[in-house]
Amino acid sequence: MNSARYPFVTVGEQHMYMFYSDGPMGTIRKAVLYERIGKNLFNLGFGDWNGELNQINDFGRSNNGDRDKVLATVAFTALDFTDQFPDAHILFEGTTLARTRLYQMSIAYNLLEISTYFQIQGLKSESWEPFRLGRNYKAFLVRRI
Amino acid sequence: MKTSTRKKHLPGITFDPDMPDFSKDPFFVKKAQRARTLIAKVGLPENQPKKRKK
Repeated sequence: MNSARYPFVTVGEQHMYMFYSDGPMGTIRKAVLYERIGKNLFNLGFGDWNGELNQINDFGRSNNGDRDKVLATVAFTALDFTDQFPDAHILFEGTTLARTRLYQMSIAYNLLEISTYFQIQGLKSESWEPFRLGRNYKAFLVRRI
Repeated sequence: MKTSTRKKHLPGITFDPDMPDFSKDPFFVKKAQRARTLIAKVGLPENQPKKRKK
């Protein structure tokens, strides 16, 4: 994973990661969580940490001009996470169709690099298939190769 | 799950014991619930019936 990314910190036992996005809107704390939802199945969630309210907001509305770097950082947390849990399946989807489409575009753009580390499945018409360019998916499932 | 063979984190990754615990944040709880519902509905790739070749 050679893309530019932010350094991040972890509390490993809880499968949480945190990093800071820097841009025109300032420094924004980002939170990434791998939550176990099945035996070897984890849901990947990520959002912006609001320190004043002590809660997470939806990711990507911060307009900090660093979307690709942020997504590359999230991808790198997946690399770290699957280094520890090599059998893990990681599920993720956007909170909206537009967000899911954004993730799909990011995967497509970096597919060659991502495919060296991960096997990616896309959810199409209620069934999973290997990720293919030019197809629209509702959700994604990745596992370490 | 191979927790017994758990590796250290990748180089350059800092461990922060003071990081706030956001694992029970309503945003993530809701996302996880949505994911559980999705998997209950569609299953995992290895559990899918194979498509027949015509």
